[in-house]
Amino acid sequence: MPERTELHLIETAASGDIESFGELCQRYYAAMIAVAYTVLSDHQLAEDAAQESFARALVRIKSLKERAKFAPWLAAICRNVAKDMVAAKAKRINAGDLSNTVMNDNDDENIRAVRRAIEQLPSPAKELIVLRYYNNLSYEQICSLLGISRATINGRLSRAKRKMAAYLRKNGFPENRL
Amino acid sequence: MKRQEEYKNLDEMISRAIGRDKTQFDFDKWKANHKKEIQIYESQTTNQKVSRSVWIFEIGRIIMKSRISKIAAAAVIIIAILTAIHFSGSPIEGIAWADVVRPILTADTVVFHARSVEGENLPITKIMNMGTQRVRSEILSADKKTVQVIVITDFDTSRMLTLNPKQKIAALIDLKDLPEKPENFVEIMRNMITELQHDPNVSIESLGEKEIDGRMAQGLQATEPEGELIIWADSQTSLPIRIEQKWHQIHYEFTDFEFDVVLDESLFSMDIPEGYSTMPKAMLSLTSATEQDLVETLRSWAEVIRDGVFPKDFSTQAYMDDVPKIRKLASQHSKEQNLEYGLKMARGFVFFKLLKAENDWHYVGENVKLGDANSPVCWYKPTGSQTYRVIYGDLTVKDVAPEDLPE
Repeated sequence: MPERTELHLIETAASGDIESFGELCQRYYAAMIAVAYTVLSDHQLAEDAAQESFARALVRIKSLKERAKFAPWLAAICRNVAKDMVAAKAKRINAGDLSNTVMNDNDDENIRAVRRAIEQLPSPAKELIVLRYYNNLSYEQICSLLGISRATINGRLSRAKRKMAAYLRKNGFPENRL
Repeated sequence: MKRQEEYKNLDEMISRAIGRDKTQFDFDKWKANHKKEIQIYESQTTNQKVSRSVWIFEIGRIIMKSRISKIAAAAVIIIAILTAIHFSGSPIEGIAWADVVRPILTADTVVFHARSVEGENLPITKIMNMGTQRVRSEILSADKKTVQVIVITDFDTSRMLTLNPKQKIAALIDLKDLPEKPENFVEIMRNMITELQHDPNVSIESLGEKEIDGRMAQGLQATEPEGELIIWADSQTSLPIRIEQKWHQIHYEFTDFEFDVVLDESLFSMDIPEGYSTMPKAMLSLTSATEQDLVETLRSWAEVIRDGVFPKDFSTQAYMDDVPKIRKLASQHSKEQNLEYGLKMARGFVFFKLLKAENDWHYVGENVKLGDANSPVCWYKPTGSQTYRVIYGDLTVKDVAPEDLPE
């Protein structure tokens, strides 16, 4: 059986076929976790946020007018869910501080420095870095998710990494590791 | 400076720092944990537009400055309020909420009054809904004796007619080609009921019984993250008597509800009455908004509303936050000036709303002063363009290559 196109899945999901919606969830789960992780800096919370995003999307998918914009629409929902979680749990987690929340004893100092360098990026750049490296999403997936071209992604990734490198140099990171 | 491909070590370090194996999604488990959402999904008819209220609300905000805006906003707010009272899962002793809901869900016509409670002697808006596609709003003087402005909206044809009976000025506004076609309020209301009935974030409590407008009424207070509303329903008939809403900066009160009253067809005519002069069509067009409209909106917002500083965000929410200032300013100008200003703001917002994800909009204008030629306020990439359009604090616009965008 040939793989169904995404647009077909969206159309049928909007027509009431929940299994089509499930297949969309399968396709976007990793991406949504990455989107949420950018905000939450916690993998378990990011998974929860991704699943909650699907719940919110399910009750609204029939109102989605631009079916071709499903991915950016879903990502926007996911960002909002993650932000809501930050607001709701502000006292329990220090979201947005990736450098602290993801530490573990086995990390070497360079890895920690890289995390701090990611953390200081502006939100859009940070999200792009996380999308690309967290779950190793393809350029095609990122293009679909953010609704921008590959050239734009390349340009932004390049600038984000330049900023990271500048930050790392400034903080004594070994030049030969860049 | 290193080129991108020379950051291979950094690539590896980033992967080590945050990389993970992909996690599998268990849809069956997810379904078991989200039965309520599935129930809502399955109860919706195909192509319901449950979130269109957002669009309607935003259009209401877009033209908030003008007299039209007060009607539009009020009309939208009442929908949110009317829908929010339909919580079948929250029975209040002494009153059957299903009975409160019934007329709102089934009435062919609904009439009510809306007024802001933020000041003294503010106009009252009388809103009349005919079927599901037509709404007539009349802004009355505080004593309800004089009709100051009339707005008739036909959702079938996406047109809005405003009439100023005293000055005999008419304005026919074409709402076609806007980001989303307006939907009728009743449909939105019924769809919202479905959602709100299952919303665990809304808490409701009884306020008991007291006399409201000369009648004994049962009170219900619903609290949600963005505001609260209080509904007083007649203890005997269960019909709504008064609804109070606080939503962000807006506090409204709705009274004098009538259901299934006979409304004359002529009240909803989109024909410009004889003896009225019409406003220039170009000024009223919301469909051909340009970058220059965006610039003018930014100028007006900073110069007129915010004492020379750009807003923290270019959003309807940021605009709503400025509503108290806008109201004060509006009281100092004529209706025509307010209408012109409101439409100017609307065109800039329409241009903004028509931007798509590929246009890569960014706003960085918070605290930037009007006239600051060195600070960018916002930028976007026109469709098909290789470069971005960057608008600076002095409202000059420059073409900028992606790699030269402000950090």
